[in-house]
Amino acid sequence: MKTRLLALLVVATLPLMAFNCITDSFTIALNLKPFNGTVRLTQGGNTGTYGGSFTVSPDSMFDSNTYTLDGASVYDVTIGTAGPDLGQVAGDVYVNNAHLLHYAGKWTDFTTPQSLINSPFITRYSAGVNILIQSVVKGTPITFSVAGTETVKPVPAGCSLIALAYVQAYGHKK
Amino acid sequence: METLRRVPRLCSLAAAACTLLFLAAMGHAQSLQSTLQQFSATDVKGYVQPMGDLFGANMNAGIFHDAEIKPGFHLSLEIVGMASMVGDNQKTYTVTSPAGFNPATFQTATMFGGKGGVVTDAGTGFTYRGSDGFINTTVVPLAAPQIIIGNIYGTRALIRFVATPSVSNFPKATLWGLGIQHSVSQYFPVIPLDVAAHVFYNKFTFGDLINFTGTSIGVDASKGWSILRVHGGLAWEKSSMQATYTPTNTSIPAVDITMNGANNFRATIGLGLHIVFFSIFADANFGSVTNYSAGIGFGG
Repeated sequence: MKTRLLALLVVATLPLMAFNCITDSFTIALNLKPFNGTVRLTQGGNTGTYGGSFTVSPDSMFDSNTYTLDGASVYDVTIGTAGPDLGQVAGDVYVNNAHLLHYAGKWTDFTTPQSLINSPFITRYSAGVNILIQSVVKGTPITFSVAGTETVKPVPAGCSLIALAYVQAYGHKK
Repeated sequence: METLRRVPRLCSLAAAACTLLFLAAMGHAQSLQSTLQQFSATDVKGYVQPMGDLFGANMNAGIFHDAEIKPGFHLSLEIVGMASMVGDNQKTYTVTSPAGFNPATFQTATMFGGKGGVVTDAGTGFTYRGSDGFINTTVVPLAAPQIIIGNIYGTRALIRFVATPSVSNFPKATLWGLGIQHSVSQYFPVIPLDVAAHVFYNKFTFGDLINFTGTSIGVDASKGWSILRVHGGLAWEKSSMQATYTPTNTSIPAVDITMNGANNFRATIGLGLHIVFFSIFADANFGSVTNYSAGIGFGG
């Protein structure tokens, strides 16, 4: 009888050791696919200017069937160039019409994408940074617009400017 | 004889306990799967390393707890529970901030921690945070049935096995182990205690996501007085955890990483009671990870 009681005690105790220790609503940091906008320069253009815009929705960047979004943050914006050398380039990037950054340098300086955080070729503006963070946190669509100049005319084929915004969202499983 | 008649029922009860505990562990693993899929290979290591340390220590626990290898044929069924203690140093880790951030590193929660840490770049005000921990526990448990059978030339074998089938989205999980223990004291009759050497290997798989392996090589000693037996041992061990998955963010490459467990050496001290065909035993294991195991055995 003592043996049976002992076995029952073991049976009762072992499972209890592991149950009820999963945190119900823990927050997962979701590294979203970077917001990617490419401005293609018109081949043969002689104006020395270019521009374009793209709109992204933070909500479209994660699995909304699995996660409820609690918040988000921006942790970098980069500017890069692709294609033949266009000499000196300069331009501005706006977020929902708020000035985010000004870039200036050689086209080839941006062949390796330059970071808003530490690039000597980029000047950031707090107004645009704040709007970007607020828009991501609210989950509202964000429109990036780019306007700039270059010094090679006419523009050869295959030139483009690429803006990437790195965003992290916080959520919990539904 | 009364004890013998009870063996099948006791085994059933104990096996049920094992299965329940194993399923509980699998429940953790399922949460682990969806969480891991948010991480890149670089970010995931610190987050899950404590699981590799603690589960790895469990896998190499509860093996041979007696160095006396009895003459002739003997067979025993054991149910062993193991528990590794979650230390405060296993609740946080240092992770690299995004490129260009100042500071370059920050502290955040492991899967056993609390709230995830947040780092704010001094220049831009950009922030980046780690995930929260999602297992709030002071111990990581494991249980498994095992059979010990011997002897041949002073050697006996240990076989450990438990499995759950694949059900719906719940992957198949399997734990198996194989070890041998050889009596050293049979060659030195003057030694006043039993001494044996062991080698043990075991493996745990959870679907295609996680793969643990553990190896233990050690020396065991025991001394019995009537029904009481004291045992101890020293062992070198190695454990590793391999995680393989595809992150939810399709821009992050598929992850296939292997992490080694913290424990490479353990010292064991324990007690056991042996009453005819029934035994109960417990031990404490000291190394990088503090671990305890206890169990019951049926058979001779």
